[in-house]
Amino acid sequence: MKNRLYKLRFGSNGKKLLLPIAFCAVTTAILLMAVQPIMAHIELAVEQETYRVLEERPTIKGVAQDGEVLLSESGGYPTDGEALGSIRIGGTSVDCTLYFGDGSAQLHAGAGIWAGGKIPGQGGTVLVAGHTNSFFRDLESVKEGADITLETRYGEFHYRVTGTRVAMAEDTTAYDLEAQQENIILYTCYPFGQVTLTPERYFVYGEYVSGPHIKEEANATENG
Amino acid sequence: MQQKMAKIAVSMALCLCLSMLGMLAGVALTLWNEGWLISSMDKTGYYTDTTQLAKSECSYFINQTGVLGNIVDEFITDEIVRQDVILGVDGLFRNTGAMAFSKFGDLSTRVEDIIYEETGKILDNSEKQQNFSLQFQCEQRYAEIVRPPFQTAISILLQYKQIGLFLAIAAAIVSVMGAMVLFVMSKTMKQWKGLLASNGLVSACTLLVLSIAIQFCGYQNWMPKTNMEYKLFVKWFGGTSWGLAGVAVVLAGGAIALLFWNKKPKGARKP
Repeated sequence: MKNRLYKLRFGSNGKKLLLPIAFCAVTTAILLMAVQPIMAHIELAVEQETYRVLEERPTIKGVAQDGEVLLSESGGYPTDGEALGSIRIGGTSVDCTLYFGDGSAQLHAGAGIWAGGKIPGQGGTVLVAGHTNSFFRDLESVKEGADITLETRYGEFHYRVTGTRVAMAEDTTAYDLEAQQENIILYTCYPFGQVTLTPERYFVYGEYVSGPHIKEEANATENG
Repeated sequence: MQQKMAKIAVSMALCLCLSMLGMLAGVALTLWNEGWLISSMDKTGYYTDTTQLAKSECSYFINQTGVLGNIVDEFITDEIVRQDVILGVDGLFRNTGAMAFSKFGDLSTRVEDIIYEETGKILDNSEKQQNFSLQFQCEQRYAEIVRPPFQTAISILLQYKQIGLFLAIAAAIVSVMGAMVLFVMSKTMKQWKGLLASNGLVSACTLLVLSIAIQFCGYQNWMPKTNMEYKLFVKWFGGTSWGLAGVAVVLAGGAIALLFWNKKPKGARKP
């Protein structure tokens, strides 16, 4: 009777050891490749997680900084894809990096301002998008009167939530991009938490409370 | 030769499907499991820290009203905070909707009553408005404090739950079909069981390697160590590694049991 161990170790062409090792290696590689993008996404989300310590003291929200600001003295007009600052909504866990531009790369890493609209401080409508299955998931917790804080490299802006609405994505009555008074609109896919694109959007509207105004010269530079 | 190649291909597919099933099972037991997060919060003292933070911050708001003493204990207790955190986690995992808070609905009234009792003063409209504003900010801050920890990360993971279910069903079907094909290709029952057992052991090894890879992927450095949620995150996310290892052990045990099942009864002679 042949020795079983001999057969296991010295089978013909070493197949009995090589094949299982090859199977293990290939399977591991395939599964690692599949989970790696998900892990990277989670790492990014965890890195942007709100920093909380027990000694932290809250800020009494009153009137924040006002006045005027020259963009040329604060790094110029934002460029597409630039990390402009951060956005935070009181009473929710929405707290992430704010980008200029709302392409897939920006929305993968935070919230994005539509580059075809206004930026905070410019007057008019600031349109901000975020994915419902990640950074804007908690938009459903937003209540009327909540504070929306945008911290940018040229100033801190506060808006107050005035209302929310569910509308179809192509419903142009849901937003007014020609408004003269500064305001903010946040939107995400609806229902919340969906993986795929949905036909509806959840809109959150905010009125301007405080923040510096961008001087005319900076606007001319951007439009010229 | 062709049959050997076919056997190898089927075994490869079976390995991949068993490993995927094992991986999905490991994740389902940990990251997709609401009970695992709640258990981790219990074990890392997360509720205690959250209660302390909530009391500390709400006291700060209440003190701005000029009220002496600490009335925050009337509104925030360990049990209340624990309930609110679990409610938020439950809502997140079941996608049932946002929580409504009215914990401090009586706060401004309570403050007015205390000030009147202590000083005989009746607040004017602007003072009442300021107290109401502080009450609102306190409410908002409390809602932020008791919301589910690392909610964005959990939301990202939960979005893959449905995809995972479809993959698990597909992998199970392919595994069964693969086992049936190997049965047809095998000359004896013993050979078939040997093939299944070896595939099971290889899948168990794959899961062990994945478990080690996750343990050493550096997740311990994703969050600052001074963050209140750090201990909880390390316990919660690190549990995946142990979950995968546990599934690997079960799979290996099943494969070995199948191998021993091949053994001839004592005293039997080879024909």
